[in-house]
Amino acid sequence: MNSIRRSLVTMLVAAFTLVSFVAALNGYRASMDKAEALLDAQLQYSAEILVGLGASESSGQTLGGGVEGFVFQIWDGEHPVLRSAAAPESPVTAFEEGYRYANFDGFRWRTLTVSMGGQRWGMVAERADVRHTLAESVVLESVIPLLLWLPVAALLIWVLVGWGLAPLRELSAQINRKASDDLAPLDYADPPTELQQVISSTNGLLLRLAAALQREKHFASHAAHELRTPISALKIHLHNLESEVPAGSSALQHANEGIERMHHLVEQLLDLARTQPELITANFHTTDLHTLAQRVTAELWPAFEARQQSLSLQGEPATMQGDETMLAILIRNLLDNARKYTPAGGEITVFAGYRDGTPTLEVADSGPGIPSSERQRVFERFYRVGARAGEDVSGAGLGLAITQHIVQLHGAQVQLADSPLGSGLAVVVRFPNTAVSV
Amino acid sequence: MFLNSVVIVLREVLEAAVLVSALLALARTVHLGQRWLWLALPLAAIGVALYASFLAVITDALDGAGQEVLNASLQAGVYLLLLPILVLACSAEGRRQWLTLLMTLAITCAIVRECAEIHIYVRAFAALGEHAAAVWAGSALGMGIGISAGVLVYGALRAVPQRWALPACCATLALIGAGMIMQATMLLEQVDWLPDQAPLWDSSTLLSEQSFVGELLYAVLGYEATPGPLQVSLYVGCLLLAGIALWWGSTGRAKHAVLD
Repeated sequence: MNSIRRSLVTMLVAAFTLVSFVAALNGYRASMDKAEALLDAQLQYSAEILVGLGASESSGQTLGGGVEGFVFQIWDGEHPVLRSAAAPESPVTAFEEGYRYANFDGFRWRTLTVSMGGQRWGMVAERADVRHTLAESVVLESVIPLLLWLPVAALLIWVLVGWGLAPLRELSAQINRKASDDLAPLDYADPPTELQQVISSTNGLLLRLAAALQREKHFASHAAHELRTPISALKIHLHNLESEVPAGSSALQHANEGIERMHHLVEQLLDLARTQPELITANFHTTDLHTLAQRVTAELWPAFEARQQSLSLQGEPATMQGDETMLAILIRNLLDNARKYTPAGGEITVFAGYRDGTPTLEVADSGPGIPSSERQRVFERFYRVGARAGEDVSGAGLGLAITQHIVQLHGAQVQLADSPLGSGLAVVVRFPNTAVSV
Repeated sequence: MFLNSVVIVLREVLEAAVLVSALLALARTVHLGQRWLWLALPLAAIGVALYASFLAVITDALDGAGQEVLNASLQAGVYLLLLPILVLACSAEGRRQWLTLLMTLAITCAIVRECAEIHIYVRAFAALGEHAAAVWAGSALGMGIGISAGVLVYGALRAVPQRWALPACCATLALIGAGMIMQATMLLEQVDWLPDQAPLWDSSTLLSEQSFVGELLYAVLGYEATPGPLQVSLYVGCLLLAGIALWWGSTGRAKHAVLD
């Protein structure tokens, strides 16, 4: 019972059934007692009529006909004066006034003895089973509807519980409707008491989250300035230093490489912060994926040429809704990864166009690839595949985490597959066909 | 006829419903899910159908004591299945398939035992045309009360705080199991398979077995207003055995925790 509604309805229907059925049972008992009393009164009435009829009789007469399940006798001392045809010849009950039960003719009877004055006694008897069946059939008329109407009660409870839970559903819908970057407090006018605490706690959480994200956003923008500026200054100083130290100094070369790595790491950290779907508001425009890929590959071409790697672009113009800056970062990251992990002289292909009718970007390389068991984890921040990490490749393991951010931002899907170029890796990003609203 | 129907059906349904509820609550507490119940129900339906089909053969068997002996065996079977269930439920994770199988069998036995009685009673008396309405209405009322009480017992066991949920479910099952042995003893006494003994006490004036509370206690604790010495001894013995099973299971859990 994971659903509150189902659980509540089940418990309520069970409680209602239990209470109403037990009450019906008590009602049945009380009604049966009442019906018995009524039938006794009717027996009394019959006895009184009999007293009137038999007062003057003096000989042992038997009356024919009669009602089934009803007998009477009039006794004068121990001599029968009058009796119904179905009545036995012996007294049906004791010569003493009052109600009793007696057994004769194979049935159980309810009997009544009345004194008619002197030694005269009137006795009337009704079959107990006939009385019980009659009383029960009347009483059951009030019990059976309770059983028949139970499904209606259950349905009503279902509907009413549904109404009662409507505020919860409304709150849930409101939270669901919120965009990923909407951290405004929940707007719920006049909430029920039970939800006030939930709304208050959620709004408090949203407020703290908004403040934390704002701080992170500020950090990203401030850090961009604070980190880039000293790195640029260091680069200039190292460039100036080149003229002051002997040519080919290994110390200077190490310093340059270190600065480059730091520059790359800072840029990636900033990209990571900038591309977080929770932090940014994407600026979506109609963009041609192929043209964008063409521009980025052209920009990065010298780096590939330096490693004697072949880089080719395939595909056709593919129009889609996207943030051009973010998409450029995505393509650059994928190309950077491919370049770094593909050995010198290797091959890298880029496809930007339509595949199965959807805008698709694929970057495939002829490098060592990634084992399928590790493909999910490479999207984690700072995760580097074991085999690749040992290679002489610089990087912090942030490239694919940034890629994942941008993919999420565009509502796209990323897949790591085997490269068509051999043992390498193919990263395939499929964008949605329609315009993306964020 | 109406009241008779209510009492007979209520007594049987209540017992099965409380057992099913306690096992469902236990399954939920040990994160076993409820799918196994969907296997138990058709198995029980087949069992009831077979029981009803071979009723004449069963009744005539063992010099006319067949039905009582079979019913007592089913009840004893439920108790014997509950013992390993208690051990496994209290022990550490694992052997879930065994727990599922045992719970399925326990519910099947209990439902076959209880529902076969109802089936036989309703079929016999509903055939008497003039009483059909009273029999059906009484059966429906008894069934409604029994199932509702079972659902509420489940709700109550679910409402127990997490820390006490497992002990509460296990204690309920131990009591139900001991109660079943008590009823089995009574059945065997009826057919003289066990000696009929003078009752140790008579609490019918304090709490009648026919009252709703009496019926509920009969279903949960095996309440008997006039129990004999053998019944009481077996009841206490079964409770002790269930206690040992719980202790054994808990010790296994503790050992597992130490090994972890």
